[in-house]
Amino acid sequence: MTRLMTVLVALLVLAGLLGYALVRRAERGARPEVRSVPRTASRAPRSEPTPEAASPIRFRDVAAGAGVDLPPFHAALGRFRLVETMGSGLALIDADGDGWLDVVVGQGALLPEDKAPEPRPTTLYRNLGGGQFEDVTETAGLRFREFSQGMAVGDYDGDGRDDLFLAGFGRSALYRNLGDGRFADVTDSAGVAGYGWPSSCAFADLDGDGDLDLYVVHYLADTVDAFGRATVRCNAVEGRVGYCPPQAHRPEADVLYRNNGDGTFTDVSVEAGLASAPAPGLGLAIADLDGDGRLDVFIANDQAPNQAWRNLGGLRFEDRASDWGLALGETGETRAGMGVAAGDYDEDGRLDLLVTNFYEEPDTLFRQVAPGLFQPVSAEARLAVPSRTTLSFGTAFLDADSDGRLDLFVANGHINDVRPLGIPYAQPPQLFWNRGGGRFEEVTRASGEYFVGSYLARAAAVGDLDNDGDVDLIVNHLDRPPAVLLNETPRIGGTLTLRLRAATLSRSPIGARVRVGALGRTIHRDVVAGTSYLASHDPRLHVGLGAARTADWVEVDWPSGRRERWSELPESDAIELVEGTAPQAVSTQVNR
Amino acid sequence: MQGKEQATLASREAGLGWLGRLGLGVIVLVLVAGVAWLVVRGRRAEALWNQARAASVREDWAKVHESLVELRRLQPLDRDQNRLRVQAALRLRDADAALAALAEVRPDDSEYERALMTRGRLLMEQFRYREAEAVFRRCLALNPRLEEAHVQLVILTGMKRRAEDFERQLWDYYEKAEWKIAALRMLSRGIPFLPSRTTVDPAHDEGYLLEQGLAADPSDPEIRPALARYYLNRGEVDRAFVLLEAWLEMYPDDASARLEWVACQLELGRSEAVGAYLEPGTDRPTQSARFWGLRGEYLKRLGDFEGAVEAFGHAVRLEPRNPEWRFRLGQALRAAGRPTEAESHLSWVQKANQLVALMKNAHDTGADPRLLVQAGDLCREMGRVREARGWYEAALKADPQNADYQQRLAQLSQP
Repeated sequence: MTRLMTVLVALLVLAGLLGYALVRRAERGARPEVRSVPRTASRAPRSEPTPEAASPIRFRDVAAGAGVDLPPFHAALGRFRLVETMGSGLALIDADGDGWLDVVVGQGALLPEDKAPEPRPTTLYRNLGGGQFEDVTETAGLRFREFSQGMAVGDYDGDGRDDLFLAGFGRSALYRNLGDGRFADVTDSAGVAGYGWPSSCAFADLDGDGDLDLYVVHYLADTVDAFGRATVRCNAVEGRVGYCPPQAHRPEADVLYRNNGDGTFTDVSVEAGLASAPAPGLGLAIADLDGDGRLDVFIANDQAPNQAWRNLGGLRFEDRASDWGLALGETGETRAGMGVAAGDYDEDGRLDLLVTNFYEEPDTLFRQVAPGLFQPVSAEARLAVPSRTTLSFGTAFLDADSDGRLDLFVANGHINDVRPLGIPYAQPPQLFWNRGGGRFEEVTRASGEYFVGSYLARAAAVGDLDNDGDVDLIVNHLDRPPAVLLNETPRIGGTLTLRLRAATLSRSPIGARVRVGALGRTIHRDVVAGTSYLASHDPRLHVGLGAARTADWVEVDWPSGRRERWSELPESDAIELVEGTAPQAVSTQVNR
Repeated sequence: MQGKEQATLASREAGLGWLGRLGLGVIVLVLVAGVAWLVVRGRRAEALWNQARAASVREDWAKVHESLVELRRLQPLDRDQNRLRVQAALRLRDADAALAALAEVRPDDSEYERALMTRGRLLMEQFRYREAEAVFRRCLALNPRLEEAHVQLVILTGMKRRAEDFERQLWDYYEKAEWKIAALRMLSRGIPFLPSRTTVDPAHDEGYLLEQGLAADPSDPEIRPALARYYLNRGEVDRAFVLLEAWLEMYPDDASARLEWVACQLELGRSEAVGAYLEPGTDRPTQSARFWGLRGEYLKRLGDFEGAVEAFGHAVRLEPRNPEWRFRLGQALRAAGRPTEAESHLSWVQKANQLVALMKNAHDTGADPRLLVQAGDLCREMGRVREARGWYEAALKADPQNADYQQRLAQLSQP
């Protein structure tokens, strides 16, 4: 019995201990592991910008002191019409024939039922030299009160003076240059008032008959109703109204006006094959893209495949963008094409194209590898990474340091204020230095005070504004007056400015291919119509000669098919080349 | 004397000396104490349960939670008690407590499936993607028609760029979904992506979701490559490098991470840095379309267009629906002087882009059947017969008597 009792006691004690252990375990339970994750901002903040290469390139903004002071107006009155955010045009034109480039700065306008004071209109600034400009809009007879879009410059009537076409939202205008800096509005008689939403435009002899036809890119239809209201409302971010993407509207077909030779134009868009292919077009470049001697038309489209209208002759065109490799970006996706730059950046003798794109889309550099065959090479050219962080508009190849290689300027700025998503609204411009071998390096921040700021930039035009042989820039913005950027880059050698005149009625050299020889090197340049975004550039070619003081020879393939070569060149850094005649020096005083 | 002797004899015979009596006393005491403890505990548990239920009526969820936590210390919760525990944690937005409670819902509970789905959603909100994926797959094993589980798996595989799984998941979703157009729309893209519907705040972008996922589960091998690609697409290559190089130092053989590193180098124009890695070999991920795509791009830059054609050809075979590989193949064929072969691939890409553009104008509900048929036509022309069938069937659902739609569907079955 004693043994039995002992066993019983032992069992009870054991049971008690076991029970205690079970109870304690139950009390502990499955305590959750604390793994709360701290919430941070809704979008990962960007990293710091990468250090840039040192370059000699310098530009100085002289706009404020130069008198180019048009305060921008784009009808941003809280009604969110898309045209408000797309900017206005720029043109460089020697309006008075004095050898100095004058500047046309586009301006927005009130739309129906807008309640705001009438803004200053699109303005013509006469270049006085010495970095000074004077508003001569009224005296010039330029009374353009439409919402400015693209601009085209060309001698459409063959009278030796450059005329001016101003595309406008809803209605465009053609101003015939009367000489002495005066213009006459000949829109109605010429038949080019147009309609809808034109964007970039350019004069070019597309039918090879010697006079200048007019190509007008069109963007979207019916974005604003008769009462000035946006036809579609969209949100930029949740809970905040913004500007709509292009898919919210129907695209409009481009318009081609054939020059009838008598001061009038005829809309031949249907016969040309353009009317059946509407697309949201913004950028334009006209050049011979397939080497067949006829001018083709490249259109950068916004969130649609780009178009490359191959000129079949007789003002008939077919879209060959896909065949030519120009329709899409590197990954085969459509991109939001805005502006176009054209130039032989890799010095292989073939014209290349660059299309500026949307934020987080790299700008697409199309390298021409054979006539009518292009390959997207943005990453190889080291443009892909830096261009993903910008929304880009106006652009141009320009030899900023006069070393003979084409550098690249890009104007940036978003269309919607989406800063809550961590995306900048105002954005810095970009300058890319061509290092040779088909590669660029970004040198923006060291290129001048303007390049350190951020803007809502849109159109950009290049030209020698101070006639000192190098190329300057002018940039239009939504949020500030234009910037007039004079090139102050030190040069080691010389430059050559070429004014070409073909042996046609219009004397337009568009389509000409130029080669300049200097110190054993050949520099290629092309005369291209259009390019950038809503802009028209200096019609002269600017050739940096690198270390050479002068050019050894110049060769031109004219649009007519004639090739001319000159080894005996005038002793001047500005030469006029007229087809079939000897080159002549052009004298322009640098300071007047 | 005799009685006393008899008692003494009896106790001696019974073995109950003082020790025995003590032991017996202890046993009785323990038994009594035990019973008393059980009674008290039981009453305490009952009181806590009543307290919890009363608090739930008042919607005092903090009190509910507190009562149930204490009750759980006393005894395991039964089904109803655990359900209330879950409810309280959810009302208090205490994800960790809710997850713990949901994990204790038993498979034989009629609410098990719902508990699993709730757990999955919470894990997504906690950015614990691997656990979430496992939970949603269990949900579908229980009930293959759970549309939300399908969508969540689409989101997870899309976010992590798992092309094959993404497509498989979409077809699963398509087969089980009531409204099939949503799945077809996502299939139309041809590549994995993050669909816009998520259980987390839709204002948070993909990068944020991936970064949070990395913080929540640093050892998930799929997040880094996906996040690096996100950074690359934003032009933040430096950030992608930092992410990848730290990981590759620890895991140099992680093929996915290495491929994204290569992609970054190529994006920067540094082809020379990656040539060695892009040579095919036994230790290379030659079953990865991305490997072949990057190799093709590398060879193209060297001017080896035939080599690029071969490489892009591999990529297309491995990911036939990805427009990027077809486009690059087409470009390479052109550059190699084979325009006729290029045409079929580039034409395919054009149609793929048209399909994507069509989808931007479409809506998930109330879709115009003409638009659905257009999508079907494009898919048929691209050879994506299964998708084409889906679109035609959707069109017929909207317009059952349409003979043209019927004929189109019938023609798909013909050789």
